[in-house]
Amino acid sequence: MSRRAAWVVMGVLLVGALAIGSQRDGPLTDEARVRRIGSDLRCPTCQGMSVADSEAPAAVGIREEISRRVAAGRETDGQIKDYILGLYPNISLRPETHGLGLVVWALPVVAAVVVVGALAAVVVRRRRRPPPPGLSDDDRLLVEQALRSP
Amino acid sequence: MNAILGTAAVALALAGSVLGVITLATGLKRGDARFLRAGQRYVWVVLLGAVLATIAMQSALVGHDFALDYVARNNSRATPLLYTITGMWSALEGSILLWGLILAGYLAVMARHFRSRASDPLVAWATLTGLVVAAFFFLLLAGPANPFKVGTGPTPLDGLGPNPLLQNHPLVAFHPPMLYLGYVGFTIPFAFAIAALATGRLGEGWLVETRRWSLFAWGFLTVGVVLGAWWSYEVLGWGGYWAWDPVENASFLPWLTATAYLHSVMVQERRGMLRVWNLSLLVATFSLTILGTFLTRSGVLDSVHAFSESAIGPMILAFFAVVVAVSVGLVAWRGDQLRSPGTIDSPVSREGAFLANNVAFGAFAFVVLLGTVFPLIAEAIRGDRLSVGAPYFERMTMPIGFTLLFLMAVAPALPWRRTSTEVLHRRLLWPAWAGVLTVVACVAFGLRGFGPLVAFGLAAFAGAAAVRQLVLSVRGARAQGTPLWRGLTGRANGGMIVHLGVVLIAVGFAASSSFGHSHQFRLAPGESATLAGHTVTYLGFDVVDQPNKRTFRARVRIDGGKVYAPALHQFPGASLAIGSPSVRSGPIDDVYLTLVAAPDASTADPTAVIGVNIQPLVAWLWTGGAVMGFGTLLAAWPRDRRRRTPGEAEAPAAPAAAAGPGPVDADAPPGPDAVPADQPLPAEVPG
Repeated sequence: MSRRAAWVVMGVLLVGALAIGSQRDGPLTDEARVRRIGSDLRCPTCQGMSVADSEAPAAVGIREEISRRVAAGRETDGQIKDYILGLYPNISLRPETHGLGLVVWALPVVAAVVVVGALAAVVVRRRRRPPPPGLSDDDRLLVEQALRSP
Repeated sequence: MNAILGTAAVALALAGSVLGVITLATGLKRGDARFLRAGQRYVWVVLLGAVLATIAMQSALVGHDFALDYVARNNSRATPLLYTITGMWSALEGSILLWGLILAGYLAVMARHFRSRASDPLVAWATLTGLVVAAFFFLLLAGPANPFKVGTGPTPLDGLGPNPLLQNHPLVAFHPPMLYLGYVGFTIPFAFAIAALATGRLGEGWLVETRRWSLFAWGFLTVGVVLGAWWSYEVLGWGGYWAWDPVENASFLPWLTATAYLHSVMVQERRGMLRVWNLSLLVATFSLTILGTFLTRSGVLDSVHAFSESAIGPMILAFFAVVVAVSVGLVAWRGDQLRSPGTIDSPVSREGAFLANNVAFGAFAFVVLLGTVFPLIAEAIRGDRLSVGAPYFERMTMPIGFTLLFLMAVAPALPWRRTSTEVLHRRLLWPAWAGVLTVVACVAFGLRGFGPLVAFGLAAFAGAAAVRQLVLSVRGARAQGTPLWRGLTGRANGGMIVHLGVVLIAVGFAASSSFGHSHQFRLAPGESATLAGHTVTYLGFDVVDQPNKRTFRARVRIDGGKVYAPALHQFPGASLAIGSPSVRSGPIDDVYLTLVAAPDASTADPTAVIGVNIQPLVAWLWTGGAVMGFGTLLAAWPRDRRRRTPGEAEAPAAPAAAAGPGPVDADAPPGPDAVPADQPLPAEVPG
């Protein structure tokens, strides 16, 4: 197999496998949906645990409410979450994507783009710089002498 | 008695550090070697004070001396001996004392190691810096965080005992000391960085001096963080091990910058580049340990770990500000001397990969820091709190984690300076096949999900790349007739073992967070339930009375085999019962049981609610942590002085063949071109 062919085959296999593997097998179960909604919400009475993970009474109560709504099957996950956030503002563990919350999402991305761009610019500029002048005959003579001497 | 001894010992350590600083400063100002040698000796006074203070604290704890406020709050007559001893780090004041003790220990080891060079200004400046840090911590102990404060009013007959979560699992005896050995260990490289800036000896000498110190501190920190995750898994009972809690983040942040440093330092040793950057990473690591202490010990953030709140927050914050200001000032002052002579010839090279590694680690640290402090900023700006939780950290760090895994796979194969497609093809072909075939096999076996599949594939790629390096190195050792295990020692090979540990952790993390199952079952005695192929049978229930707690214990048989006992503990004085999970750990999956609700005696209802949590490959995380610690030891292993380990022979030979003659480093630092990388250099001539 030629060198390039090996990598092409590898690429095709990888893309194919990932394409098949990214498909979810079947819809989410109700329990998985409850868990997914609950892990975006902070348990209001405990410190730093999500509704999905905590056994505190408040978290259990919210979880039961989410289960009821999921079982009813009339609302999307987002609507259920908005309903809970209407009852308990400020328990979202996922900062909002507008206003002040946007900063915490966007700042790292902007910073990364700026840093990578600046580094790329430096590398490109340095590579464009004219190569150092070639060796003069004197230099070569010096090297030859140095190599010859034991 | 204990109070008097402890207070006097803290005062002795404080006086020793202050006098040491003054003596060293005088010696440096006058250029008088006698002062420098005398100043070094104060380190032993500090150590003596710290040891005596620790003895006083332990004697007070073991002797249940409740006259001491700290002992009354963190010990009781019923506390078992192990948790009596660990009571020293169950709360703020004692933790600071542990910090002081470890710092004094490090300073003493450093003074002994450099005793023949006590009059070298570099060593003197480093000792001075270390003593300033020690003075700060003993000042805290003498003032706002005094563990020997005598309580007002009559001496209580019994104490409250440690926080229930801290007397529930023996890991409490290992996790905090390990973590502190890591945290505090970075004081030494930081002190040398400051010394290099102060003396102007900004070559690679100070880097080489502190290489092994940084490595050990990093190893301790790594093991400490992993033990913390394990403790959280075994004790907190929610089935997870990492919640992106501020306390966890505080321990993770210095680890990120320190890891970046361990990599980029190789670029400086080899090519003389990135000097300012390396200094900044060390300063960042040290200041992040201080910032972490502030975040976790001042009670500014709400967290499951925030056991203590106190007035020492402002002092720590001020110290943090001083550290940052002094370091930035020194770097700015020496800026012109820090200009590095080398350039990066090609981004596809070893140094290019290290640079990318540093950008990725920098981004990682930035995201974690931003997410941790953002709720405070938001509160300051608009008055109400905003939570930044696991969903944010997972979303933001996943691409960075993938980048790092990819770099881990590719970088060891890249030669310095530049490369050719021929070299890349030869070195990466089979590791890449390992990665691709892993993904194909996972899909064929029915695993679904983009994130975990990419993680497994990259982990296999990186793992195969590390194994390839190790195989070459061991083969080289055989060819040279050295013992085969020699092929696994030294920085490059030990580093590859560490990479294998990271691969294990990445796989365990991806698998357990993507393919877990959890459910709660209400079971009557004799009833069984099945989840994800495992059957649990609830057998019955007992109540065990111990001196310090009452335990409600369920007996649960897993898969018809051994019986496990998830429990609830009722501590006197605690309103809520503390759960303690019971885990059957295995190489494939963990069955994690919790007792959610015990049978209620008053209603004669015999059913109990058992939480069952099944997560694959969790044990790989702890194994990975152990492998990382072991790899660190191998990396620090002293080399055979005369021979070069052949593992590295490949790298320098290849670029010459591939790239032809390149420009020669004008400054030619004492990098591995001149001297084998892990060989200690002859002592620098004091300048």
